[in-house]
Amino acid sequence: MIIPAYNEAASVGRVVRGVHAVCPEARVVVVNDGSTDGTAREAARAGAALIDLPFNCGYGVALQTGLLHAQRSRADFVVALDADGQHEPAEIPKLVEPLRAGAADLVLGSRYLPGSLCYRVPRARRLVSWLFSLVVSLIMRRTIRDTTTGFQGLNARALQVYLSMKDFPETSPDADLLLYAYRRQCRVLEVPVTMHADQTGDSMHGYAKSFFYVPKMLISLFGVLLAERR
Amino acid sequence: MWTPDSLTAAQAPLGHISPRARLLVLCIGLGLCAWVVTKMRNRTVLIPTCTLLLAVGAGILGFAAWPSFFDRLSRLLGIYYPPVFYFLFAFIGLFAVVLHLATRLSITDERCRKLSQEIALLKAAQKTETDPPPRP
Repeated sequence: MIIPAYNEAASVGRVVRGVHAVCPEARVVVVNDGSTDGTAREAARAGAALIDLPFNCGYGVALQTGLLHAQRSRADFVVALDADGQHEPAEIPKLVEPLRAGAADLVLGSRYLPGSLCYRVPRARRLVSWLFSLVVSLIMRRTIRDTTTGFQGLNARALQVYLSMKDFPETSPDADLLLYAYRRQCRVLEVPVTMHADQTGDSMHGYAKSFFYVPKMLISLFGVLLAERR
Repeated sequence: MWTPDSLTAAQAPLGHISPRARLLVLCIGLGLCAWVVTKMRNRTVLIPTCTLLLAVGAGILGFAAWPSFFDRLSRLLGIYYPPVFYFLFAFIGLFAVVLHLATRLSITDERCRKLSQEIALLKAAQKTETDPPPRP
C-alpha cells in the first residue's frame, strides 16, 4: 500500500490504521513528501514504513518513489491511496480482487460510476474531470469515468509500465499516466468506490485551484501520443 | 552633415552610431566577456553556458567595433530600419540563452528528482535493516 503524503499529520495515522485493519498482511508505505508538520511521526506511530523525500517534490514524485520501492520489493500488487482520508481503506479489496483474478492490470477506484458514493464535488473540478474523461475515452475508445482518481490498484505489469514512463508527471499523474498505461496494453478496469471530501481541507494535488492544470494535462496527453510516434 | 532629423531612417548613412554610444556598447560587451571568463576560471558557470554567453559578448563587441557591418546586414536582409534588426538580433540571442537554460534546468530537475528518490529509498532500506519491522 502506497500512501503519498504531504502535510497530512491530521489524517495519515487514521488512514494507515484503516489499511492495517483491512489488510493486516499488507506492507503499508507512507512516502513523506517533505512535510513540515508531524506527518512522518504520525505515520510511523500508526505502524507504516516510511520513505522520507528530502524536500517537497510533488505528488507525482512521491507516488513514483513509492512505486519504485514496491518494484524493488518485488510486490505482486500495489494499491495507491491518498493520505487525506478521501479514500476508504475498507474498499481496498475491491481494487485487489480483479488484480488477483487476473481480470485487469490496473484498477481505478471511480467516484463517478453508478454505485459509487461521492462527496459533492465542486463544479469546476467536476467539469475538469468530465473534460478529461471525454478526451481519454475518445482516445481509448472506451468510457473511463474518473481519470483523476488517486485510488488505484496495480499488478506487477502495470507497475512496470508506470515506471517505464520517462517523464513521469511531477505533480499530477492522472489522465496522462492512465493513457500511457492503456497504450501499452495494460487492461484497465474501473470499480465504483466511496470518495470522501478531503478531510484536511487542503488537497495535496491542488489542481482544482490551478488554471494551469487543464492546458498542462492536455499537452501531457498530446506528449504521450507523440512519444509513441518516435 | 547628417543629423537624426534631417534624413529618413532608410536614407541614414551606414553605421550612424555616436562614439559615446559605441563606447558604452564596447564597455557592456567587455564587461560581459570579463564576467564570463571570471566564472569560467572559478568553474561556477558550465562551459556550454559560458560559450553561449561569450558568443553574445562577441556579438556586442562586434557591434561596437563595426556598426556599419550590422547596418549592411540589416539592409541585406530587407530590414531598412536597422534598430529593428538590432532588436531582432538581441531577441534571437536572448531566446537562445533562454532555450539553453530551460534545457539545462529540465535536465537538472530530472537529476535532482532521481537523486532525492534514491536518497529516500536508500535511507528507508537502511532503516529497515537497522530497525525492527513496524507494528500496527
